[in-house]
Amino acid sequence: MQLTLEFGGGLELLFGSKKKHQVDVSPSNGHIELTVEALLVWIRDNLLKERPEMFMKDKSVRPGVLVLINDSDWELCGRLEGVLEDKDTVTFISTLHGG
Amino acid sequence: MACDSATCGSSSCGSQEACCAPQKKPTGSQLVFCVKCKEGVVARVVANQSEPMCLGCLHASLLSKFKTAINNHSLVTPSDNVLLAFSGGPASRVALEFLREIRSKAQSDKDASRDHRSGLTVFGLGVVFVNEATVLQVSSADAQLVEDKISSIVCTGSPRLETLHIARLEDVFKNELSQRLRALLESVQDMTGREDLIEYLRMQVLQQVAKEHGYTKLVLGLCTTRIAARVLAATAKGQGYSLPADIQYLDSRWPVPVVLPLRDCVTRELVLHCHVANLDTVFIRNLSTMADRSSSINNLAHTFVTSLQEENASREYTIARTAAKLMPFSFNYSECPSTYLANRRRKDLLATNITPMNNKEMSSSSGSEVLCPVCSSPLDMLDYCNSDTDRVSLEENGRHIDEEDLEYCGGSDRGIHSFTHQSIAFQTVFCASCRFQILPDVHTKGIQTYELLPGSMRERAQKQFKDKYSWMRHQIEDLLIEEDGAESQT
Repeated sequence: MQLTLEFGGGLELLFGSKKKHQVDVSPSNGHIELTVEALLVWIRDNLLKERPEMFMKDKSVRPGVLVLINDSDWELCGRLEGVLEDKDTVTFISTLHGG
Repeated sequence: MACDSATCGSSSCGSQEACCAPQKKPTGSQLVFCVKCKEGVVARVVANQSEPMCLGCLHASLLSKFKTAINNHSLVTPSDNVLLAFSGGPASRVALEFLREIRSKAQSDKDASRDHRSGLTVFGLGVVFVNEATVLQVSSADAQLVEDKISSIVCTGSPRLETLHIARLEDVFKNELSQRLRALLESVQDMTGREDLIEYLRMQVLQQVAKEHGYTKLVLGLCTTRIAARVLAATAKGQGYSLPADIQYLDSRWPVPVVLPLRDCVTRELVLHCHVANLDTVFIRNLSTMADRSSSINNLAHTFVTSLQEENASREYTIARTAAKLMPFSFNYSECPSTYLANRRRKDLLATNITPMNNKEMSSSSGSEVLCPVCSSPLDMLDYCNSDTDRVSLEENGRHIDEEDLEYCGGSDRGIHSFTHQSIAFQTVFCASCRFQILPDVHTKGIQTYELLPGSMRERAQKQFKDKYSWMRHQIEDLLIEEDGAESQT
């Protein structure tokens, strides 16, 4: 499925300083749906240029990283278990540079 | 989200087995509604620790905290000329937006009012950005790019444009090149000390700009999250005595008082608000960007607070609220302490649970704390006056520093050099934290760093040393032996 990934708050530095990425991600073998958790694994394996610990911690995002699915807080969408659909926009913003 | 499968024991199944029931989809048909406005509006964010809210209520919640802080503590009055320290980050971006909102409202009220008395004014608003490109040795082209982005944010979108002042960190040295700033920072070996010194220099520049352009208040975007991190970091650095000074709504030890209207807001909500309200921010690297979390105490404290927050959303508030129980200093109260205290009792503020001093203590408090010449933190007078190093230095070496030498204190650097730097006692004019992190052994190898400090800091150090030395000498002059061997007559 086609997804738009956006990175902000300094996270873009980990992705070639590019804030917006159009990607094509499919659920892994044996799974019907693509969850946020699976997307994170895909990002780590396919997009992340360096320093994975700056983006992820264990299976989730590093503390301090906000995740929004179609501009809605992922806390309302089941966090890691939120299911993604074609044309969704997933936004990751680091809050570590508070300013 | 519970899984329907009988084989899954946990309430949040991460196994992604085909047996799991499909989860709710994050679309507009989300069934969670805003708990604030109760108008059946779909919630889009989780704020106030755990409340689902719509975007309108998030905005209202943050603005309400901002306005309450300003009104309850008179942080901004109509006669003020306010300067906002804008870093490009989400907190100061929200501060800019909210200041514009309340200013615009005050202006419309004034325009609509039939009362044409000259007493009705609206506070003035300016914005300052301090370019710290020299710190990271960014190219001048990149530094200009950042300034352009800042300009484009501040100078668009507002009907009454504020004045934007752009300063550089090296402005703290009058008319000097950036080499001196780089040399100063490189001479500080301790990374935490280096970060802290940058912050102290930044405040000097902000105060310079504010004073030069006639501003009466300086607004910082310091929020609950950063205050919580600061509390932990300061405790680790041995700054426990001065800690309360930096975390109150008002700080008037500076020539232009500093106010923190965002003190009750958390970073997470400020970042969310910027994103959903399309408020542009600029990401600017600093020393801790992409650094290991243990690169400095500040970074470690911030990372720690952030990870605590993941476990329990109220942690930041708890830390900040606990630290607020420490007694603030006299300069943290507004000009009319008795009025302030009376208002506080009346409104029963929960944010700062300070035990008020009685009126006698308040009136005798002259506000003249002794401050560290580098970081301006108040010095613990008991330590300051009773330092063993000072006594030994005076009593054993009483004659190596006499009245003639003290005259040099007001003179040129050359006059001061030979005497202050040989004195172990000199280092006690600085707080313990600055001594350890920034100026270790200032009377020997730390001289280099001291001499690179801005003139204003060195002048303060020299004056404080002279004042302290005179005072101490007076305390023990009965014990001093005169040059001709006779006992002192006084």
